[in-house]
Amino acid sequence: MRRRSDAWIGLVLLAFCGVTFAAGWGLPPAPYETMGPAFMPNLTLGLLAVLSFMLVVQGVRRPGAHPARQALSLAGRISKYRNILYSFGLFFLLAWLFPVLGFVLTSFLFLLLLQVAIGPKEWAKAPFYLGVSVGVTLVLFLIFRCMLLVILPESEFDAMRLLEDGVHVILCDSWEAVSQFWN
Amino acid sequence: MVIDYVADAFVEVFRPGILFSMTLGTVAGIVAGAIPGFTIAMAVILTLPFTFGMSPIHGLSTMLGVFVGGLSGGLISGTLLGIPGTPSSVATTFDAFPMARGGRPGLALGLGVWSSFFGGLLSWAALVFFAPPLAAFGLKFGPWEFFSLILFALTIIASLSGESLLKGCISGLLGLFLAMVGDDEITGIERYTFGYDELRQGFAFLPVLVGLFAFSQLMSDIETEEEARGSLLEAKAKGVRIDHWGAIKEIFRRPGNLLRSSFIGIFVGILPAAGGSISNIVAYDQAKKASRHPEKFGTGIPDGIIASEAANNATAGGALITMMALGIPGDIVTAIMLGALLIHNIIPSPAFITERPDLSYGIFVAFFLAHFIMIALQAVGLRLFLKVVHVPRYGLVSTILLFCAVGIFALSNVTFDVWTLFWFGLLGYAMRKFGFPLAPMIIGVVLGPIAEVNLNRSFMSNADPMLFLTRPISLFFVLLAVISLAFPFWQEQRDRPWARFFFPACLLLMSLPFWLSPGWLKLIGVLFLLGGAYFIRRQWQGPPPAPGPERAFDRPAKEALD
Repeated sequence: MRRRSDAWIGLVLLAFCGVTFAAGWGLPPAPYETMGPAFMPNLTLGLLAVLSFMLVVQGVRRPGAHPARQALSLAGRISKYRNILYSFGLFFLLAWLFPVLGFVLTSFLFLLLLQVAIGPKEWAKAPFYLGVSVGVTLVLFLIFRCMLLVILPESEFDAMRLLEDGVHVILCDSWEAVSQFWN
Repeated sequence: MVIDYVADAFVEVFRPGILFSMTLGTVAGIVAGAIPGFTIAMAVILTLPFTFGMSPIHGLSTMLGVFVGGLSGGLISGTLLGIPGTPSSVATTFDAFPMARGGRPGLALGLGVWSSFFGGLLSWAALVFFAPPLAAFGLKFGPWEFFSLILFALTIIASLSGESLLKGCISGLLGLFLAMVGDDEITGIERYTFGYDELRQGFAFLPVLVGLFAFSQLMSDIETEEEARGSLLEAKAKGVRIDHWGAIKEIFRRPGNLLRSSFIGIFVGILPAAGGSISNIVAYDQAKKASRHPEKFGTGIPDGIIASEAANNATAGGALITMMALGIPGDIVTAIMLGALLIHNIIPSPAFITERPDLSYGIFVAFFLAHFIMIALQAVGLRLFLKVVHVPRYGLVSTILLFCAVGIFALSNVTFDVWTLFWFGLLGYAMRKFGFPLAPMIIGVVLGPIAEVNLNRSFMSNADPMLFLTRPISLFFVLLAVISLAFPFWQEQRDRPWARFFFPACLLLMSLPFWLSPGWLKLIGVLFLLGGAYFIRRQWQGPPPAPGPERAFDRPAKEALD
């Protein structure tokens, strides 16, 4: 299906090809090989530029027949994609806060806030939200940290580290005790 | 005698301790494969420490259980959530998810499970009876052959592009380029990092895959308020029951697809470093090309599921052939198994099968048994998983997103991978919204570095580019690539007079590599030549088809040209 936006996307891709081609201009040739490090990328960018140009032409010459759409204002678009914005925004915070607050608190906050953001905003759901946030965080900690011995993100702050150490003691020591009992 | 070795191996492997470990390993594999972000390789790596205290056959049997379970586990989330659990189940999702969404999740799951089972058993047969000659063929591949094979695989982009070939090719080229970010593998020269040290390692494949597929699919599931508050399965599905008998009947109605896809899986598995992530897509593409209704692929038809799942499980057998016969890993999982053997002071080599029949045939038997354990566990485990998908989406999506983030972080313990997941999630969602297919980009990311390395090696060995065409195996794959690119055009133009000569022309073309080959292979060239000549003559003498309505492919309408 052809879309009116195809022309703009084609232009963006052309700009991308231009920027990256320029970035690769200074790549030195390797003296001991026929193909330099820029050969394959330039070949790929060249083909991509040609196809992007074709996309622009296609988008300009044959804009698709769209079903009747209401023109949305900015506020309308934000409202329409609200859940998406919340999800990406909170995931952005998750990635940013992992090394700051550590795994336990960041995961708990992420789960709680995302459920509240995209789920029903009812007080009756609060126990479910809290249960999932606490339960999933602890289960993941148990599986990765205690059972698989995978290092999880740790906080820069002592207070947060105390929380994580506490969780570690409760969960991992319990797991070790259970394992020893079965062995 | 082979029969004696197999019998002794059955006695060895069929012990309660080994069977129990295999069962636990298969459970772990299914769970790992079913959860996006938690790969089979990671599950096998994490199993490795548990096997140090076991005998070699015990440890390897457990790891094989994880491997087999993981290959089939990826279809669970792919079918029910539209998110491939592993790269080996990418193509499964194309038809399994629409089939499940269309009200037949039980059949979709059954098709996946039983295709995995039959594909695995067929590869087991190949492993036992054809290991030596199959491995010898793979040894003949040089960098020219590898590059040409990858060129052929990249042309699959054309077939997987759905409605827009142009957007599919753009997506694939973007993937190719993204794979070149970071230090050049041959020279170590930094490329397109824009000063970021983290980019010197390039984009790790797994965060890219999970971001493009999982993240974007999850966002599509919660776009509206109604969707976010519903469950992943429609209420009218009335619960999901795996349709075992229906699935088996459908599979046996399509023996050609099953055999072809299993063969593709075995062949891809034999090639070093090529695994299930490639075979499932190649098999899907070939099934689509061989189908009388290629346009139905992607809408939820059994053929797509059978092709992908049979191929990915068959790959395991092929990879084991290479590992056991040559001491070279067939894929990353067999590379880990190789490490397990070395830890036990066992060095796989071409003489491994004859020098250690107890261990080698024990591996054969364990691989065989693992499929039966897998089929039994899937019947039980799937029902438990189905309970999960009735949880409201806002809870499930949040949990899966977090699990993806933690799973990705656990790979290398760097937050950069989580950021990669985020940015590719954004890109994947945008691509979905603007009609760009995701699969070609994944293909480009996977195969791009391998293609570049082999192209480099070929020119470093010999600067003559004609070797790509004069070496028979390389020419074979180059011609397949040409045909693969031309095929969508032929499908569009089927009513044209020239179209009826397409198939004979392909036969004539494909005779060339066999003519260049030594010995009895020339006979195959003769057969192709005669076949092509026969069909050309027949088409020439026959009436041309009636002209159909003119169909344009990405061409402006006639009036626009005036």
